[in-house]
Amino acid sequence: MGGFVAVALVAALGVRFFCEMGWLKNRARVRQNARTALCVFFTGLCWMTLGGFYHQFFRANASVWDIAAVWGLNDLEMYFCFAACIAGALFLDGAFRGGWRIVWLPFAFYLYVNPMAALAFCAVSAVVYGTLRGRGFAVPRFSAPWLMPALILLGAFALFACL
Amino acid sequence: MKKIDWKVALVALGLHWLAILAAYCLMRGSDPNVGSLFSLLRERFTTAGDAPHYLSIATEGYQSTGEKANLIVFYPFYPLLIALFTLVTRNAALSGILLSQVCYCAASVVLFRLLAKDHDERAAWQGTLLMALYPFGIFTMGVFTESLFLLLTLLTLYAIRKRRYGAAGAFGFLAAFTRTQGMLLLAPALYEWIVSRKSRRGWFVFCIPLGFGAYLLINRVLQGSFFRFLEHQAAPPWYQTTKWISENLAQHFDMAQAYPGLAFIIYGAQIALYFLTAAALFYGLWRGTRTCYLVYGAAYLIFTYFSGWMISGGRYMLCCVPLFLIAADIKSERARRLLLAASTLLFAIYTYLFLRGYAIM
Repeated sequence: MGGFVAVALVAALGVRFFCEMGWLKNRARVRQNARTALCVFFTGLCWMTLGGFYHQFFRANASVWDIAAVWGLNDLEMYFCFAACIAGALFLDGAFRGGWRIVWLPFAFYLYVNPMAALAFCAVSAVVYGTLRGRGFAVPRFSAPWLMPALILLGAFALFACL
Repeated sequence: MKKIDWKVALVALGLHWLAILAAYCLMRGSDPNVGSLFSLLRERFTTAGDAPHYLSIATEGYQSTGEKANLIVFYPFYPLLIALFTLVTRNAALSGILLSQVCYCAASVVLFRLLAKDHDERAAWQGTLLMALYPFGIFTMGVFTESLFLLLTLLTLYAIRKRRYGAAGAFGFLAAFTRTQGMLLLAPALYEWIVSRKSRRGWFVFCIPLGFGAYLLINRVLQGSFFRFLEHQAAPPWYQTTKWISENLAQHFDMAQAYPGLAFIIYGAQIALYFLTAAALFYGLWRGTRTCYLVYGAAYLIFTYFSGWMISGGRYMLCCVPLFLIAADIKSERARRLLLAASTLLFAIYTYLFLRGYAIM
């Protein structure tokens, strides 16, 4: 967690620098993207914590956040995955309003724990952004009350099956 | 100096002496065999932690070979000043203590003035009092570099705030000649210069890392390698290497569990300080604290926690000045009082434990 906090701090200061230099003029957009990035980040934390608990209870008595034991990742790879995933989700959100929610889908946890998957997601999202931005597409809001719990259950089951 | 400056300096110093006297009375009450206040302070302020090393350098200088060759890990500016003061006082320990306390008073005044530039007097007092009541603040009273480094850091930030890059370069140079973290002052100076893009004298900020360069040169001249100090740091008794923050925090956590007696005074405190400082910096971002201060705070926090086998995190974080600058941005009166009360309580406890001889380093 300590490393995450440091990276997040540097990223936040980077955004502030861009704002103060006048390169990010639309403050409302910056705030919106910051909120989205935070949501994507916490979704990743939830996936990894869930996977950690599975690992702790069903496979080995290791620490929940021992990412090397649970996911076979080192710190740098994990930061890369999170960064690529956040970038990809922001691109997707730029193309389809609400598109970042793709990280909630079952199996989306792979984006946070597999550097190649994260990189591919980021690249595809960038292409989608370049092609479809500004056309007013939007992902339908998940208004059905059963949809969220169902997604979480499905996701948890998928995680369990894959681990 | 204005009347308010004297008031700030006296309050800051007075709070420390009040805590010391209260701790001494408590010690006398519980153990009548405790010696005089003078002998207690002489022992704790000149023989605890790194104090004897600084006194050794001040009186004998760096050694090229032998048992004391490893003292080159300590930066030269503070012992140099002690040596100069000793020409007058004829007592190195007394010079070290006087130097620290004078620098601490001056640092409080500069902090107050820096805060008063952007806030009202009440907020400026809040930040200054929080520095005075920082839980590990007792190190500003003895033979430690904290006070001098605090003063030089604040003078550099003050010069940056006024966009006097020449002065910032000079003070930053001395800060980097006092402690490793001093060269991090380049980050806020560079940031302010880039963002303001108004001064042609901005190039002076590059004097800051030259202080570190001068220290490297001393290593080269005396012991044949620019980075000899790193070898000494990695060897006993310091065992300090550079590791990624997560790894270091995990180690602190393990050590806190293995040695519960040290958790409150060393390892637990270091973990808590890391996350509290990070939270304060995020709060500063949210409240709109001047970005150059936050840049320095983040650089200082990350750099400090890169250090493996750290046992003096509480003391190091005393010089993370942005903490006190952010504190002035707290608007809620209740939150301010709560913070001051918590800080006062911890300050009293840690001062007492330090004087009792606990391993607070």
